[in-house]
Amino acid sequence: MAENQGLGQKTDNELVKLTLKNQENFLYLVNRYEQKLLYFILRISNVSIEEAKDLLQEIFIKVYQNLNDFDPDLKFSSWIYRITRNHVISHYRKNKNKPTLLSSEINEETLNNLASEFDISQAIDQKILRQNITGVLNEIDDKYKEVIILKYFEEKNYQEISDIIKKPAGTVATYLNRGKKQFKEKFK
Amino acid sequence: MTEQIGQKIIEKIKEAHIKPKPRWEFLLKNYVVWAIFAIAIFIGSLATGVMIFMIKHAEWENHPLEEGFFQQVLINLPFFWLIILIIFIVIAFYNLKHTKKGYKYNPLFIVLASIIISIIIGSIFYATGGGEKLEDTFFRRFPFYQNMMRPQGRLLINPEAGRIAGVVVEVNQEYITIKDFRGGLWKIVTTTDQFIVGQRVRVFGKMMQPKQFEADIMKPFFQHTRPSDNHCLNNQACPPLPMP
Repeated sequence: MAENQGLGQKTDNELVKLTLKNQENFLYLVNRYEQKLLYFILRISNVSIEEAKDLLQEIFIKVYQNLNDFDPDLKFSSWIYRITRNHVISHYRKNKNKPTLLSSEINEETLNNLASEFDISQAIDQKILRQNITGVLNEIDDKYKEVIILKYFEEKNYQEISDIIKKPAGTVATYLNRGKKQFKEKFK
Repeated sequence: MTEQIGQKIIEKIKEAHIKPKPRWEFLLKNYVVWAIFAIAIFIGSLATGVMIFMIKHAEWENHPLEEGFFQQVLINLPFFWLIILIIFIVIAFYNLKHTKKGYKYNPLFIVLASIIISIIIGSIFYATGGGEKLEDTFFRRFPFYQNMMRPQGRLLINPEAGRIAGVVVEVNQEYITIKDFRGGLWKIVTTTDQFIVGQRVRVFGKMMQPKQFEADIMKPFFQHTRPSDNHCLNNQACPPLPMP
């Protein structure tokens, strides 16, 4: 037990090395990212919770198979988010479903962040505001929406977003600005 | 829920005997992508070297053409090599984008850097004479390249205006026979031994009969670097061209 607690405190990179030696250690990486990635899948897709869990399993298997491809220069979280994003994209390409953000995915903190970042008055009812923001986010271009989700929902910085979506940091900044602009125009 | 999913995944990995793919597979893939990038840049550089040769030795200043700049460009622009360069820049770009860190670079930066590298290596290739040799090899060995060069050569032919361009098909002690880029045969009376069969030439002078041409100047299709190598009739270095 004491040994397990020790493993739980290891860094991601250390856990990757340990997993390559013993597959049981993969459990610690799964536990660390399971919740975050489940929410991320739900935010960028319109799948049910059960389907999201199935996707999550497939993603973790893929991560395990590709552990030797992990580049330690990159943050492990960026790498695992990248695999998740790509897997979800190929899933909805296969099913031809446009991903839709659900209003329930926006918690109070994210709502406040978005409201202040996008100059939205918070005087109106939070539930209505949440629905309005969700509706507008679902209307803007997918590539901009994805960057907004990573920035304000997943709280990733520009470099991390760049590593996740595999675009230059400058392009991330452009997407974010355009996304904000589209959001403000549609929110009026 | 957390324990369930994590445990399920571990069980699945064990049951299906899933193993991480070996590191060498990823390394090999990465090396192949880099190798294709390097090869693409190298081929693009060779094409650039040939283009530098063709443009620099196209005799822009001495063209006695009554046609305008646009026709001069059509005659002298090395379209084939330009297309080769573009194709291999695209291949280089695609491969660099697919290296591990390729996505960090701005696409415009990749394209510009590829072009600059091609120009640098191409200039060295040209300076060593490689551009000329490669172009000549293509013309002699590949019929498709000859066919591509013909339309440009045809634009140069105007016997009434005193110029023909074509390939030497026969070298005799008294005359040289040239097959112009339209397929017409011309007899050039000369005793020079400076031209060989298969060589492309430009001839300036006067049309005497439908198939005979009196040449004032006969020179390789592309000017050589040293003026003394640009043989004119009677083994003299070429004088300045007479203006039409």
